Amino acid sequence: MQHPTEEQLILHYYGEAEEAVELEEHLARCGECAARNEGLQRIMAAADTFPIPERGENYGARVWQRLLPQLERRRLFSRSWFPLPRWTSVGAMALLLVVAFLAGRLWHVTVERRGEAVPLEVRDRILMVAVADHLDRLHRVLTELVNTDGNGTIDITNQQQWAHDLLLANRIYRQAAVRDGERAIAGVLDELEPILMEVEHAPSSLPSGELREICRRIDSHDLLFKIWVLSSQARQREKSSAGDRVRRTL
Amino acid sequence: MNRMEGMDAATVARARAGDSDAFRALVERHSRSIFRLAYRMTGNEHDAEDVVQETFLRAYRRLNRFESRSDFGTWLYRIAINCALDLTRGRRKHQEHHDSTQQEESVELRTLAAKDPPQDRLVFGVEVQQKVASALAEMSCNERAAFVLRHYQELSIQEVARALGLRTSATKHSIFRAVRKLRRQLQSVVE
Repeated sequence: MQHPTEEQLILHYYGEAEEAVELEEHLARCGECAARNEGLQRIMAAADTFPIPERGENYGARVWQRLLPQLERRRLFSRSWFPLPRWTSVGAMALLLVVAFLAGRLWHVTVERRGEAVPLEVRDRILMVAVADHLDRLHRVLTELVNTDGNGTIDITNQQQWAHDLLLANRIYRQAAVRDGERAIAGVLDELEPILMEVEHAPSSLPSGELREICRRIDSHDLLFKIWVLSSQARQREKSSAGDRVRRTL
Repeated sequence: MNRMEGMDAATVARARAGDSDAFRALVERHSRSIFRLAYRMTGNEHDAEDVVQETFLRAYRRLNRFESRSDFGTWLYRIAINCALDLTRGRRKHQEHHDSTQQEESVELRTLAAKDPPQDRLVFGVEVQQKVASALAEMSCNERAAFVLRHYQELSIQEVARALGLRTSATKHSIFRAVRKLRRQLQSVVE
């Protein structure tokens, strides 16, 4: 064997050289290469001294505690994603649409006659609560879709009904957001609309390949993450608005 | 399949069925190794903690796509590396946007690397650590990811390639370049 290259020595160090036996024999015979190899081993050993801050035995439990509120907010752990009776879900959705409609009107009116009818912070609070609820519902439905597993055809009847209901609310919010210059919200709702339409108009028994394609699009646009961020921001704005109001009252 | 992988496979199956305790067990089992990986990738604790959080959130979202014949730990590494790279690249874009003069690499790595060279032989180890930190900071994203996974997390080159979505040859070359940078930094103090 000829003198090994640096690359061969690196692979040998990691136990991944193809010609390990020949290389060992060569190193045993060739002092120059043996010295190069020892130099490399010292470099690699030095890399191991890179300090890592200690994390105790209960670190995993602490990570879980920090993670839990986010997971709960996303309602990732409901054994059934729609545990309420159907009539309750429909009722909730109807209420949501009423709120959405009112919020849209309030939003619109305030933009047209800013400062006259509805105080800005009240409008903002109502709207942010409604938007955050809408986003949470969207998140739940999309998470349900993304986590649906199976081969052959998959029954998505429930998700379709929810997509149908959410689509109406989504349009109202998107239009209101455009009117009020809430570009981030409008942008994400705009991205969601074709997905919701696709789910709504898909066959109830959807081939798994088509479902995977929808999931891929949800994932590739990071829609779940965007919804979660917007929802958090909306709730934060709602809280800030409430805080301001309390401070002014005091 | 080793014992850990066997335990993971059963736990992942339960987590996929909606058992939150099972997912909790996975989080608790893998958090420390993900933190170590994240710290080596980002070079600072705050970012590493963010990467750990985001890794498990993404992992849960994608749990149904995890192939049960794969190693769950390796699958998590892949997610963590992507989170770390997203963070690094996001920061780079942000810095470019603000025309910042700061370096793109982690503050702590740079700080560690920039400390005055120790005069005393007793603190020789610190100097070596500084040099390693400098070398890691100097590596490109792919070089650092490949080196960290191979050297510290002890994945095979083939596993590293799979985790990074690279060809094996490209992975090898990333590792070679990383080791060369390491050698350049350490030559004066180690060899």
